[in-house]
This record gives sequence, C-alpha cells and structure tokens, in this order.
Amino acid sequence: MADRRETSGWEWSPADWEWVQEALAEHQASVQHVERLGLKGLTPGLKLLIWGLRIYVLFMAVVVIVNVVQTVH
Amino acid sequence: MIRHMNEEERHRTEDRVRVLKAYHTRRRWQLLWLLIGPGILVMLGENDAPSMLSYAATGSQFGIGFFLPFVVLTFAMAFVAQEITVRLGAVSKTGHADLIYRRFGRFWGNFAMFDLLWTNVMTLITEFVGVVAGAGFFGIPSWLAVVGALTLIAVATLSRRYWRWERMTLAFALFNLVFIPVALLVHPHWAAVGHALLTWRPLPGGINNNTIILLLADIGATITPWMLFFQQGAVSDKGLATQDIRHGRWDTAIGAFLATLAALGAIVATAPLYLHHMNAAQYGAAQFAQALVPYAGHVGAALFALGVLEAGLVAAITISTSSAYAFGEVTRTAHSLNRPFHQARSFYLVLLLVAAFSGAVVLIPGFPLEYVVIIVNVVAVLTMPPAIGFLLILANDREIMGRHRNTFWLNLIGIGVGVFVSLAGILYALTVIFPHLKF
Repeated sequence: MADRRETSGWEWSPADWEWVQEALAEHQASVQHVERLGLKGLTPGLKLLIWGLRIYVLFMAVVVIVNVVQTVH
Repeated sequence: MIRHMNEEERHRTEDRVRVLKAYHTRRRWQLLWLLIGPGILVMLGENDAPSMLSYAATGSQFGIGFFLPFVVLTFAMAFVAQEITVRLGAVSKTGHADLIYRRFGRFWGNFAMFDLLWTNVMTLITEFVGVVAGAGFFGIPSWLAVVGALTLIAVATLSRRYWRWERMTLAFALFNLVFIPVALLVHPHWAAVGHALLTWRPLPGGINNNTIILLLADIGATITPWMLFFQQGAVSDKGLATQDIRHGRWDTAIGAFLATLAALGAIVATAPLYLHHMNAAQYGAAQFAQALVPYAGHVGAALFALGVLEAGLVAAITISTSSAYAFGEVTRTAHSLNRPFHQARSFYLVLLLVAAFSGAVVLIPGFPLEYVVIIVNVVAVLTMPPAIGFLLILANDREIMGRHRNTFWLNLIGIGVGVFVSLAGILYALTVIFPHLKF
C-alpha cells in the first residue's frame, strides 16, 4: 500500500489525503467544541423572555381550541 | 487525528473533499452546485400543500392586490430566520434540537420538541391531504396515492447517501415551479400585478376576521418551526463548514426567490376566480384545479393539481426528515442520511413511521381534512415566536458562534421578524375572543 492511505477499510488516493485531513480537522474541531458546551447562564431578562414566549404559545393554544369550537358550532 | 471512520463520516468526507478541490481550483459554479441544497429544499419544501392552498384561497378571495407584496415580505422574513440556521449548522456541525438541549437544558428543550412534534404531525397530515387531492384530479384512488407517496419517501431516504437524497428531493422540489406556467396560462393583467407589488393595493373588504386568518395562513406558509430544525440538520449532515456560509446564504436566497415566484404564481393563477365572482373559499386542491379549467384550460388545471401533489410530496419528505433529525439529536442516537438503515434504525424508523401515520390518518373516512388544512398554518405561526426567541439567543451565543454571531443589524431585523409574527398572532387572538371587533 505504497501509494494509498487507508482509514479503517476506506482507501484514499495520496492526492486526496491532504484534503481528507483538512476536511476531518475542521469537522472534528467543531464537534469537540460543541461537546464541551454546558448549560448557558440565563440572565433574568432572558428567563423572562422565554417564559413570556412560552406563556404566549400556551395562551394561543387555548385560543385555537376556542376558535375550533366556535367554528364547529 | 485519523481514527475509525464510519460510513456517515466517510460519505461526508468524500463530499467535503470535492468541495475543497473546487475551492482550490476556483471553480465557482461547481462550488455553488456542490453547496446548494438545504436552503432551496427548505424554501420549496415550505411551499407545501397547505401553503399552496392558502395562496390559492388568497387569490380566489382577494384577487391581485395586497397579498402579492405581502407574500414577498414573508419570504424575506423567512430568509432572515433561515440564514441564521446556516451559520449555526456550519459553525456547530450539529442540529437545532441538540443545541437547544445543550444550552437551555431538558426543561426548555422538551417544550421546543413538543411544539415541533405537534406542528410537524399536523402539517404532515395536510401534506398527504394535498397528495390525495392532487392525485384525485387524475383519477388516482386515495390509497394508491398514499402508498405511492410513502414508497417514494422510502426510496429517497433509504438511498444511504445524503447527497443522493438531496439531489433526488431537489429534482422533485423544482416541480413547485409549475405554478408559474399556470399563472401565465390565465393571462394575468400585468399592469395590475405591477401596481399591486408597488402599492400593496387593493385589499377588497379591508381588514376583517377572514383577512386576518389568511394573513396568518400566508405567514405560516413561509415561516414555521420545522424549517429551522430541518435546515440546520441538513447543513450539518451535508457537512458545510464556516468557509461555506456565503454559499449557504446564496442557497437560501435562491430558494426564497424560487419559492416566492411559485407562491405569487399560485395567487395570480387563482385570481380569475375572484374576478369572476366565484365563491372558492372552501375549495380543496382538486376543486381549485377544476375551477381553473375555464381560465387556464385543461393543461393549466392539470399542472395546478400536479403542483399541489408535488408540494405535498416534497414537504412530506422534508418534514418527516426534520422530525427524525430532531429525534436523533435529542436521544443522541445516529441521525444521518449518510448512514445505512442498520446503523441508524431509530432515525429511519421515526422518519418512515411519522410519514406512514400521517398518510394513514388521511384515509380515515370522515376525518375533517379541510379544517386541518386551514388551521395548520395558523398553528405554525402561533408556535413560531419561542422558536425565533431560541434562534436569536443561540445566534448571539458567543461560546457557540464566535465571530459568526449575529451583528447589531441582524439582531434588529431578527427581532423585527419575531415581533411581527407575535403581533400577527395577537391580532388573530383578538378576532377570536372579540368576534365583532372592527379594525
């Protein structure tokens, strides 16, 4: 296997080998970075925002049900 | 650095090598060809059966006027939201659901998943309504249309290769443009089209409850939560890198442009139904096509029915894929179209079972299909504000995005989209709670 490199059964030509390494390096760096991420610290303002948006959806779900009932009757 | 490489990584690496070579040899068109996909798919996928029926209902009830520029505006807003998913996917190499769970925890992640799941299932049901209605125009029985659609979804998704799946689905998606020749066949008054696009007029009857429902349906026809999960998932599955963000933007912009043309085509095509004072408010897909025969001829009507069938089919593929991506990300199981079935069983099973369930619902006798079609886009809009909220918080997350985080202006536009969608929902709520309210 002088002119080809193997990666667990997959063979790449020497010309491609540099590209393979470049592609893998970028991908693996991003994946490792995401793996290290923990929970985001939410400020009181952000907490208020996402609770507000959640209440908005719950309220709208009730409105949709009311609308469906109104239409059916 | 090189370790054991599974089939998913190998296929993605092969695709990336082709992209890197194209960068190196400065083949700009080849590069664009290699990198387009998720953006066009998401935008044409969102021109789904209920969306095309919403546009058709808009054209038949309001003619050429206010809604033409309004639809252009909604696609511009969709571009703003979807561009963020390109950056998120290219930077993080992971899906939207995964990032929400990692950064906000299981409590908020579960809420986001619940929104996605119920809107996806409802929307998928309406896609099969479109498939059945479109096929019905050609005399194809409902059961055969559903089985045919499920077979096509299975063939596309079990191709073991993201690239193959993407190109097959893109080829189907381009059929969405059949609404443009239908519009040409009705010989529209081009001066009226130009006047409407420039002046946002006329709006017959002004703003009333019916107008607001259609406004919401048309917003829901362009901006929905599944689009965020789908495009970020597809961008990471395709393997887009940070250097490809510019091409990802072009991909999304081309998709938005093509989808806008198809949407405008559907409105213009059905405008004669308004001009000739036909009551098309409750028309389904097949009835719309039948009603168009006097104005667009049999060919135009057949193209319209084919367009609705195609819209349902492509969206059934993309929406079930978005559900499967999200499921795989949340359960941390293999979730890639680059894997064979035996390596990602739960991913493919979720994808196919969700589609099969939705197809089966459509075949239940007496199921209120017409009403689900009308309400599904409205529900999509109402679940959108928290999705935009999470999207903007993630886009500003320095730890994830680094130098690719949102700028001040992008935040301003993004917040504008969020506020617009939220206000549209509040307007809808007011018309439901106070039915006699006048605007």
